[in-house]
Amino acid sequence: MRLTLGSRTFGETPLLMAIVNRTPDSFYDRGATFAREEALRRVDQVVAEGADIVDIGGVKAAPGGDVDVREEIERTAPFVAEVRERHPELVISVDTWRHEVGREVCQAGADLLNDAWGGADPKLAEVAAEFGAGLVCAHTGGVEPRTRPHRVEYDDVVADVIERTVALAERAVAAGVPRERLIIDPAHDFGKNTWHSLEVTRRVDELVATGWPVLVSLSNKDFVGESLDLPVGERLMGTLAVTALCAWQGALVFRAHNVPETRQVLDMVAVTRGVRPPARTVRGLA
Amino acid sequence: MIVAAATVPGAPLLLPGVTGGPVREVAKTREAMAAAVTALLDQGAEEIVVVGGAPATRPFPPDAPGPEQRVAPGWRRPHHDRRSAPDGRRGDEVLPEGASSEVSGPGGERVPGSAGAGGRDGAGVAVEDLLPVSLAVGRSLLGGCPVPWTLRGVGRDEPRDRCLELGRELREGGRPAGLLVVADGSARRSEKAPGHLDPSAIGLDARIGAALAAADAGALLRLDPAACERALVAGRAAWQVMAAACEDRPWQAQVLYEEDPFGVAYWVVTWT
Repeated sequence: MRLTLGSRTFGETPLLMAIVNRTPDSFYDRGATFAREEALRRVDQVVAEGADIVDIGGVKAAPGGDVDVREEIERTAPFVAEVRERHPELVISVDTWRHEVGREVCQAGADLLNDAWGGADPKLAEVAAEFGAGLVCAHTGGVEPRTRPHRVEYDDVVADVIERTVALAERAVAAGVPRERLIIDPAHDFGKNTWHSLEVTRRVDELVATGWPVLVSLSNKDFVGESLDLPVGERLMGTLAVTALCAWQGALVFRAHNVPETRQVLDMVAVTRGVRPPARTVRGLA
Repeated sequence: MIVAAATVPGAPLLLPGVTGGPVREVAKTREAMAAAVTALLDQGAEEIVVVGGAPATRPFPPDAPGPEQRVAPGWRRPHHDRRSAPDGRRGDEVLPEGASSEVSGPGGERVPGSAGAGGRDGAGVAVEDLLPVSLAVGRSLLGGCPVPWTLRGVGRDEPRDRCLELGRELREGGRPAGLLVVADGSARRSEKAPGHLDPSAIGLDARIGAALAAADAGALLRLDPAACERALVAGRAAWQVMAAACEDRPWQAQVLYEEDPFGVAYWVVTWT
């Protein structure tokens, strides 16, 4: 399994994708980095803390105030250009489902389009192909962007995840996106109730077995909150627990709010799996 | 004919990659060890004879499988050309398939499937055919060595008389040879040392250090095997072989390194 993003090629060591929201209303940070200066500071900070990728988003996932294409572009594209200038080597991802936004951010220097709404706009893959960008192929169960799951049922949620995400990836290949730039994402909580997200978590290895690099986005989500009956601000431990489980099963990209904590968990799991050497071991070896 | 000798330490953490990430103290030790090999070659050695403690006295083939998987299960050959961020966090970018899968063997020929002077993987090999750590450490210094080398294990418990014989045999070879002896001092130098404190350790190490620094073969030959065993001195037999091989003429000793960064006494000393 190889993943190429921007000019960098990655193997088995898990990658940390830090969330940077240019939104006034996202569930976790509640607008903390809506302002340009705050968002730039957040990027500098997460890079220093060990993020491999930043994922810049201009529209909150949950239903809420309408953000039109023009507004989304204004929130993301100039910011991508600024981040690209400050961090030439950093892999920049943009969380969008709209091809018009994809085009603008790719022109501004984005390396990856995080299509968290599962190919709702098929032209997004064409934009990725045109610019040589990567694409995240997420599973939503076919729902419209910015909707909540309601009375969702699957014969087998993992089978559905695999079928739909792999189909999206193959469609992207057909559109001209290089295979090594594609990632699949089961999209926890998207088109899934907590039971579904937990089932996906314990069977992430089946996604890994497809050979496509797997991204998981677990951070502070409702399936963690419902599992532990905890509000948004108290889900870090639960998030880290499922992060470790997915890392152990071979998921490659971890989209996260809490960078130093997630980095430490990913590194520890990677060392345990033997895909990263211990930082420094001399005990018993002198 | 021995033209020069050197002693270097042989701890498992001196095997490339076994510390995981880089360790400053180890880098410093290995730098001195590499300088010692250079000194042997500078004296005109046309072959290198590596001598190190082993479960029993026996030679090993130059490409004998190493002990890395016994010492550090899950260990992988270090990727020297792996790119990573300056803070070392992102050692995640991958090496092209097959990179560094071939290196110089003894005499400079290509040895397929061995990295550095690393030898074959040891999977499925009987434990007695795996290179002891001491010889693997010695061999790891010989990547790119322009002359052939041989690997000789010396039983760690060999009595002095047997060491004397083995050393004298080494002297009889026709080619000008550099002797690379892999040996450590006591592992009981302090309460924090791997073997905890033995009151005799400091004095014993001092005698060993003085003998090495004065190229005093007689003093090495007088080391008491039982006292060395008690103080967890891993190098006694190898040093006595070195002393026997070198006792026929005076030598100029140079101490390149003398420290105990992890509680075990290490020396890098050349006799030229």
